[in-house]
Amino acid sequence: MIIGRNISKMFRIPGEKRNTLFEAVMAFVKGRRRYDEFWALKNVSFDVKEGEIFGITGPNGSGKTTLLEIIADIIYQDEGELIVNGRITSILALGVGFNPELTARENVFLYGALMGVKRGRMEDKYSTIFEFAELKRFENMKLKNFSSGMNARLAFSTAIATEPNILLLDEVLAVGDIEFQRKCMDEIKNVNKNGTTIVFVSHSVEAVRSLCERAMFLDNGEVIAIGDADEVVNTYLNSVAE
Amino acid sequence: MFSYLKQVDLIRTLTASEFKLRYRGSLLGVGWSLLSPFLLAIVLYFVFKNVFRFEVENFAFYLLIGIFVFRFLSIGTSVGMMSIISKAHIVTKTSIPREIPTITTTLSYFFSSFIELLILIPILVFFGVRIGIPILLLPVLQIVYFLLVYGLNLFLSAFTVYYRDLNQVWEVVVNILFFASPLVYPISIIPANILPIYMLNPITRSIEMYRSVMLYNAFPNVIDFGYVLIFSSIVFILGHLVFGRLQSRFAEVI
Repeated sequence: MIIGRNISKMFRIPGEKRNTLFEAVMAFVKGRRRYDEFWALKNVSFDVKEGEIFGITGPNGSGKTTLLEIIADIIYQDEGELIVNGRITSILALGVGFNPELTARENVFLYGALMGVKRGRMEDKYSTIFEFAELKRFENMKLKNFSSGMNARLAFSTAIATEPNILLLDEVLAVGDIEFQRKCMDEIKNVNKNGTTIVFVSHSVEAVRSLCERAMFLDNGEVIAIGDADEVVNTYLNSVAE
Repeated sequence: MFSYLKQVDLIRTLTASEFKLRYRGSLLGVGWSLLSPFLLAIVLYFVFKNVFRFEVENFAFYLLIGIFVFRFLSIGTSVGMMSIISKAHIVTKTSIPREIPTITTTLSYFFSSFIELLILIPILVFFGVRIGIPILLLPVLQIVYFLLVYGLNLFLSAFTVYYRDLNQVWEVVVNILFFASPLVYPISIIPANILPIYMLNPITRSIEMYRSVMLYNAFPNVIDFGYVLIFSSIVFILGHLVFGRLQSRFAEVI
């Protein structure tokens, strides 16, 4: 269960780029400490209920990923309150922490550790992961020799096997061939049936419509519509048509 | 502040893979990390023995121990300060505590350094150095030293996220420390009037303690130990406080 109340997030856009100590000292000497404020999220409130698939949609730059990053505890909101019940696994990018110099096998355990899963638990899951990814033959190959599709398959299979209470997905389904995409969709529905709450971010209205029960439409950091997925998607499509 | 230390599984897995990666694909493995300090020691030995003519008993080993001990600080911090920015993907895509990359890098150098020191022991014995009970304190010294290096790394890695050129500045500091600590010369050459200031440097006292257990078969000076322990603990705690303050915007700035 996730509850967000009046969440706002401000990013500082520096007036001039200041990435080094030297530049900082120079700017300080000149007496300039300017930055512009950019509110990526404004007063966003929502509820994600236990066990549902919740979609977040909207055009590029609407704040979808920012919101997901706040839920995932990667960045922090400036205002508002967020309550999260349960262990979150986020798939904001596939293959986070994967190291090209390590073998597929080693990477699976590394990923498991990053997701907070005990080693013994990963060992139980090990064969399921490789079966699902269809990569059993390559388990001792170094990841740098994997194709990007193989890499993505391994990453998705590992992430989904960590059995989170809450799964955050960010546009990750644009990986692999059509068949694997379909398999991913089925697997997402499957883990959802087993009780995992899913927050799914995408600007593909088709994916949101087919996967989600409820959804939220963000534009310019504000909630335009929230509720039944079909209605929200229609609102989004109408706003684009105007 | 220290709750991330409970994630033993994660820290162990990441440290092990970092350690493995450092030595994978190299013929000599750990041997490489021994070769360079040995070569450095040989060069310094000829320079300081023949040019400056220091009269120190076992000068070659005196040098070696100093260099080996200093390496943990110099290499450990120069790599450790990059631990956050070099693992940007972990910071921007996962919610694991931000201290984790820094502690795993520091730990992997902690073990490298400890192994290097252990390898030195049979060499010392072979050349007739008497090693006794005091050597059992070696792990204790190493752990106290770890607190210092890790505390520094927390400061450095957090500030490096905001100021990418900090490593240039730090490199100079490390070079100053190299000569401000008794690595290549005996403390006896330090004039008495600046000795009190000289002894404020915890590295000096730390190196002296390593030498006493490894070279002189003696227990370290209690005052030295107390000073280094307190100094390291303060750096360790301050490092956590500063890191905690700075880490909230890591994912945005990095």
